[in-house]
Amino acid sequence: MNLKLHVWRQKNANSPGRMVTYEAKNISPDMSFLEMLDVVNEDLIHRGEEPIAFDHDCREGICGTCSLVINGIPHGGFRATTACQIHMRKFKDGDEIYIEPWRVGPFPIVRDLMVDRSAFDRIIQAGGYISENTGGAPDGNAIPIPKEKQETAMDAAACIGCGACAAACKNGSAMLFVAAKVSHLANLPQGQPERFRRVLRMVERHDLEGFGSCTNQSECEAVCPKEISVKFIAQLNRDYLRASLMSARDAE
Amino acid sequence: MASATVSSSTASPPRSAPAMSAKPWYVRVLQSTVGAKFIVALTGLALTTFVIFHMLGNLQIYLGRDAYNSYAQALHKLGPLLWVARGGLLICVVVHLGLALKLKRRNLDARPQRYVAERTKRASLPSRTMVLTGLAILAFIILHLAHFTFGLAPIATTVDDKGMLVNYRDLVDPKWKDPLDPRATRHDTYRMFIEGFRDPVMVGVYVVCQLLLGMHLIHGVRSALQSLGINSPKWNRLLDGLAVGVTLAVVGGNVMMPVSVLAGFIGTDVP
Ligand code: HEM
Ligand code: FES
Repeated sequence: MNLKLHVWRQKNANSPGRMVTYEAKNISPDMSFLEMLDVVNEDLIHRGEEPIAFDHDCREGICGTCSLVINGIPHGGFRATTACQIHMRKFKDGDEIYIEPWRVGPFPIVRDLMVDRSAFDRIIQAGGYISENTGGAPDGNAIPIPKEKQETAMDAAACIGCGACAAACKNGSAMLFVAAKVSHLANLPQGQPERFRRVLRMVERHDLEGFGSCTNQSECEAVCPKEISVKFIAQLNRDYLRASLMSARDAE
Repeated sequence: MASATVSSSTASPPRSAPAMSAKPWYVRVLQSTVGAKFIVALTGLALTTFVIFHMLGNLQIYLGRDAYNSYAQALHKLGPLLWVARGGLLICVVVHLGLALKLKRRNLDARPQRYVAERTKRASLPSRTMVLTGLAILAFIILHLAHFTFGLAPIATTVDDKGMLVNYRDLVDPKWKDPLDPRATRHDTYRMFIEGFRDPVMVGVYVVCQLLLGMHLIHGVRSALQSLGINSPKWNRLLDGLAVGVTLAVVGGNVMMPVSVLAGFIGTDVP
């Protein structure tokens, strides 16, 4: 199949970017979306032009590195699918496809379609962990965890930190990401000691990075490749409220 | 990418993370996106509660002059309490609007550039126009107060039995007598209501504003509950229904009254 691509090209964070149109010729419907871009890049290299820079790593939907806004929707809007997992058979011969980088203030563009997502790393560093003393490996079933709790925690832990939630949010809020990380640990016994400190610190860091505030439009949930539910944002809100109302010392 | 175990090139996860900002906890809460949203939600729900009771109280217009004027009189007899309530409402409006606009500014800054192929997957129209419908409600509140509370002359004037111009504020209930004080009078709020809605333009403005209020409420009520952390599979269907029910009741009731007057269903006893 042959396609017409409109791709955002930008040299670096400080230079202005623009959409550039490319032809993608002889694309097999069995290719993945990123393989299609690889073909276009081969062609660009042969012609002596700069290839299109885009992020990718696992190419199997588990690492959260790929980050393409396809036709205005992060990851393209296919249910529970990362950009790397899209097959070209989802498109028709002759289609025009718009490809843009994540657009959120706190994710500056590095080049073309690559953005710097270290803001998420700093949010995790602010509280998205548990502290554990090392020693002999504990028995796997020493801590009983109710099945429902475990499953809820797993649903939240499915977050791969790709940033599509923030990229889709009309308010540039990363609350779904923060909520997934907070809820993942808040639903497990191991997460309890730092539970309230965690939520306060992660929200504080989220705000400090310059992300927006959630207005409950659920645009994030609609694009999340791991189908993280906004019910976790409600859990974050509850935990934040409890943490704030508790004595300041307890929470910190 | 970011995951629950930190593998940062610069440092391992800090054992004791940098101390949180030293501000008092309530300042931190108010300045945070989540905390500010609590307050927007709480003041929004307080205003919603007011709007529901305001609508229910006014439905007494269908019971006739005596019932309606007695209701208005009873409210005014609350005296200082009435002023406490008014003050509370004013604070709610100012805080709600102030924080909502502050967050909106922040949100615009957080998304400096739109997509060339900007698209929306789920965000509803009401949810994307909250500031516009909110500002429309503010304009309506000002109009409504000028119309009936302050009696602003051009829109709050009518002609009395003697052919004299009279302000809505100065209408006197012709039937009412105080058994203890023969000189006492009471305001004819009923007539003010009826005369106020005999102008099709005014009725049109009220109806449009109520529809905009409905847009604000249909997203606002559900959103406020979520902002307060109320979201549970057990209750969500009921909460959805609550938001729709409240919106339909408020808009339905508030549209029905002016339209009933204009159509001549009520108020035929006012010449
Ligand atoms: C005075 C003019 C008003 C303005 C400018 C205004 C503006 C706003 C804005 C911008 C939001 C946030 C929207 C969002 O997060 O998506 C909001 C939320 C809300 N508003 Fe208003 N509003 C006004 C009056 C009212 C009134 C009179 C009511 C009640 C009848 C009301 C009820 C609500 C509710 C319940 C929310 C939801 C809070 C939440 O999402 O957590 N608002 N308003
Ligand atoms: S490249 Fe790993 S999720 Fe897409």
